[in-house]
Amino acid sequence: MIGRFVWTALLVAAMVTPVFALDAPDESAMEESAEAGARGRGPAGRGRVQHHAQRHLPPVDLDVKDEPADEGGAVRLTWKPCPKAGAATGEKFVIYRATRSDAGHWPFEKVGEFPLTDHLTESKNGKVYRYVDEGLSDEDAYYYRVAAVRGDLWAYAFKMMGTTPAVDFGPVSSIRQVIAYGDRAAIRNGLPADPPTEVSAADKPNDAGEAIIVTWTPSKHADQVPGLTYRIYRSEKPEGPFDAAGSVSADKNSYMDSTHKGGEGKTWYYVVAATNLEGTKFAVSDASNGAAAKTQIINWEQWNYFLFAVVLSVFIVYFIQHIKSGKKLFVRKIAGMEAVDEAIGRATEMGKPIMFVPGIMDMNDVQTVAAVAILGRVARTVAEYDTRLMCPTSKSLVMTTGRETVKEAFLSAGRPDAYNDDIVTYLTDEQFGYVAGVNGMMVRDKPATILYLGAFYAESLIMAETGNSIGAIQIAGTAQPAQLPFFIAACDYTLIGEELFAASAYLSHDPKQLGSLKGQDIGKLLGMLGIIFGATLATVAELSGAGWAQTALNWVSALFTVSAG
Amino acid sequence: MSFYEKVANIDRRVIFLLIGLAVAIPIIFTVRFPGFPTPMVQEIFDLVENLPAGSKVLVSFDYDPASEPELQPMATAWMRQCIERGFRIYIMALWPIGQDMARLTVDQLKRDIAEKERLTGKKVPFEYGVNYVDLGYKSGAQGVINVVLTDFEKMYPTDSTNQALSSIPMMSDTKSLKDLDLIISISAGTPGLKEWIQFGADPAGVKIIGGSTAVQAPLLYPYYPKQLSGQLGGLKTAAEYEKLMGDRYPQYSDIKDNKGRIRMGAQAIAHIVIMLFIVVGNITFFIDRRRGKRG
Amino acid sequence: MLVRRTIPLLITFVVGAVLILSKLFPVTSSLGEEFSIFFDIIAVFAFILGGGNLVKIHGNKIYRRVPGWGYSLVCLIGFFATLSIGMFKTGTGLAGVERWAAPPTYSGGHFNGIYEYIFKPLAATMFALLAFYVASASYRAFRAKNLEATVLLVAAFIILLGRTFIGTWISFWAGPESGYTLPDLAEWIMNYPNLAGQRAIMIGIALGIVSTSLKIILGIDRGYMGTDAE
Repeated sequence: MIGRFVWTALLVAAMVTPVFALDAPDESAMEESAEAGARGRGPAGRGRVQHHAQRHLPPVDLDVKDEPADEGGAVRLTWKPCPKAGAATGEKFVIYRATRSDAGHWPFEKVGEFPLTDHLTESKNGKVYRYVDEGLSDEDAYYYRVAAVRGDLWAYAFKMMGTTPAVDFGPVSSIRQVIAYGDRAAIRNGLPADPPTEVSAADKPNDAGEAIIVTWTPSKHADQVPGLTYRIYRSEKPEGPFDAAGSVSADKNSYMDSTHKGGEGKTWYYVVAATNLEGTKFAVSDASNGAAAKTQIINWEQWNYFLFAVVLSVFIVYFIQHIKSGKKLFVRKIAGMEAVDEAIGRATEMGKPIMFVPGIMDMNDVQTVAAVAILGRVARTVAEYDTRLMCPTSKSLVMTTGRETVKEAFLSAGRPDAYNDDIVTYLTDEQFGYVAGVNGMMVRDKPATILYLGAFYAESLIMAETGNSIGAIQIAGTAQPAQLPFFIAACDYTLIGEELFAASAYLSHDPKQLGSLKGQDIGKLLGMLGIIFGATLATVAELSGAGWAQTALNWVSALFTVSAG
Repeated sequence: MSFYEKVANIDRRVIFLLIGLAVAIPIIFTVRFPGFPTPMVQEIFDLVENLPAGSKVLVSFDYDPASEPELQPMATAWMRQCIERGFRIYIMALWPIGQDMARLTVDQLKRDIAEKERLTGKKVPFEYGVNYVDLGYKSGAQGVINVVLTDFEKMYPTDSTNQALSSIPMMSDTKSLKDLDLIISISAGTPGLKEWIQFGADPAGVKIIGGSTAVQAPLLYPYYPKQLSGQLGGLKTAAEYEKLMGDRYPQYSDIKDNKGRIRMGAQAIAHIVIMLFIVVGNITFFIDRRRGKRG
Repeated sequence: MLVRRTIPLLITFVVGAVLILSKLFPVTSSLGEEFSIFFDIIAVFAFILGGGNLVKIHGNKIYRRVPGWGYSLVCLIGFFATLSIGMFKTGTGLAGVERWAAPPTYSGGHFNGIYEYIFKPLAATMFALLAFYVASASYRAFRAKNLEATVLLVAAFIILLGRTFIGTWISFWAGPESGYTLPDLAEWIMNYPNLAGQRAIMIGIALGIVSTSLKIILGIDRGYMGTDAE
């Protein structure tokens, strides 16, 4: 026995050792990684995880402005070293520049490199670096990137800016802001398509004042611009300046600007620009009407959701009352649940434990809640039979909930003395670690009965096959459709989907709970009727082309469409 | 003990050994079978191929090492296609370890690109902040999707490298999911493709495609074709996709770049072995029944 | 009774009802998100209980020298080693505040090594067991016992072949583009009979979830509290 442990320990040690031998970075490949502009540490080629170099932080407050009082052709860059605690300063700064061309790419080129001590001015706001980039064209927008470099560590800051705005944009008075965001109209009428027209803005209904919907009539001759894109800009004043809000492709004629949360009540104006893909050619619309995002009290989009909730609840409550008044209901036998008592009895006879596996999800999954409810019922029977119960869990909250449940169950079975905290145990949150742990318990303790109830993923078959190999009676139940085939193949009984949710009611023999099952059946019946009715209507509408059938079909599909949000 | 009895009570370790060999041998000797893309795979390939250059594509890495053999070939193929087509790639992860999967994928691609550039003599731009951005992992599953549906910056004030989102060039005209042209979710379970369809693509009105494990794929068929433009389900479709990629971009046709196709050989042989076991099982079952009747 | 029964039931009812109603009123629509954040916070604290439980159980086993206590020792060593390496960020070369502020996955740390070279291979190994267990399970389960089982068996064969390139290869009766090859048949089985079944199961599950949730919110099912006592 001891020998095996020594070997296990040696094996673990052997696995850990390479970890500690990994630390030295490969100096020779650093140059290459720096050239590639790779952010991170060390070369990419050694197969180790590239984690981000948080200790080496990028410059901050990078700003690019037109150089004042010149004849154009120059911009001024300013930035500060990263002020974060513990951030190491770089050894040098490298400045890159790009113009936007080539289908949305910015090929950056190095324009300057200097040590930390150059271009530095101390102001009341601390250290500021200034750099003037000259020899630029007035026609283009430029993008800058400043990298703080130390050894093989690179950290970047980005900024976009056009130079020396000298072009007048006509009716839309200030597109300058547009230039600053990189969507510059170098030639305003260079686009073969017309500007979008009839731009209008309106509050998005049924929300909490978060969004404004912008709609427009698409550009004429849009087909002459391959990759035509509509860019949407907004401003609080109809005359601008306009800020970029977003962009959509040519096949759309509306945009939802949903960034207004908290800024409710402010009026916004929009312009829509038809642009080519690169954003170098523009045709800009007139400004829209003003619109403000408002909060609505009731979300009418959710009406069908409520209808179903109310109808289902009414039926469930009705049947509970119905059964309370002493009426009998027929409940179909669930073979797997019928077998529970027998399986517990078998374990008792064999003097072996019972294992309950509540799945790998946390308490916020309904399947886990259903599983814990069943655990309560099983624990009660177990307490009565005086058998050993094992319940390994994968989540701490499931463990604490499970413990309370089992404790209460033992108490109500009159066996509080038989309870101890080791019944429900925690193994690990990690999926396959949990499987390994549960399989180990199975192989060592050889439970006579194993119950798998809850939410399972890929581990289902690995556990169920191991259970099968030790000859346990296995009862499974899950609402994960993908795992059902595995359980059916490897277990003696399997509760399929909704049976898992019915199981607790079934085991309780409590009339109130059985009533809820009946309510659920009515829901299913309504669903079936809806499917038959809808399919018939769709067939009739398709075959006859009748308008009324189409209208009715639209109603039915609206009834069954769940809206987002 | 007769031969029949030996077969009927076969030790499971024999089954395990044969399956082990069936998987190992084709991988070691790279057994390959000719592949013909199924219609949905072709459909997905054409969809991606026909997006205009510069399109904005979000790739969500929602899997972990356990599903890597099945899903990584899909992720790699899609990323290669996006790079070759000149798309802008927005990387996200709904699984904590998905972040590492994304990072490994990007590192691998960086190495690949240098090599492929030498092969084709064509410069392939793949620069951080310009061609791709890695937003990283945020916990909250569909909650994350719900937020980025309206505002990336609210969920991700910075990218995974602590760079302010507002300062990254390719984020300048990308404020929310609605600004994207395509969403790709490569997922091994929950949260994954299903959540992306329900909470992301559908409300945003953006096309979505995805990759799933063979086990998860059947659950997503109900969303095709209206809410889901197509999915790769399992290794076979990944191998088919690699074939399409290799045909269109010959620089990727080398078998060592096509992990899915290599692994597919193993899967094919393993399936045959499993079928042989089922056949043997049935033969013994029938012999058993006949004997039972006699006795 | 009040603390152990009435108050939890009241909390369940109020939270459940508020969350359902929040769907109807946009102002409260972010409540679901808020509650799930609270859940995460509580779950983090619960981990202390979980980790404590792990240590207690294995510590007990080692103390009492129960058979197999060596495994418990390996478990505890692994637990504390990973915990301390992650906490102290060994191998990252950081010091002071920087060290405490850095994430455990910081570049070059030993924690990454543990993840990369121990955790990942182990998880992949456990998952790979599935291939072997699928073989042994199908060997047992796929027997042509009756008509239904035979249909299942035939469908399984079509899918198994259709999911590999051999399927196309042996479909001698049809060309690869004809739409009648084994992969096409497999696709058809997945898209129609399988899909119909899946949808039915999913509708059943959805209704089961609704009714379970209602039972819990209304306090009808108290099984998760261990007893039905009023």
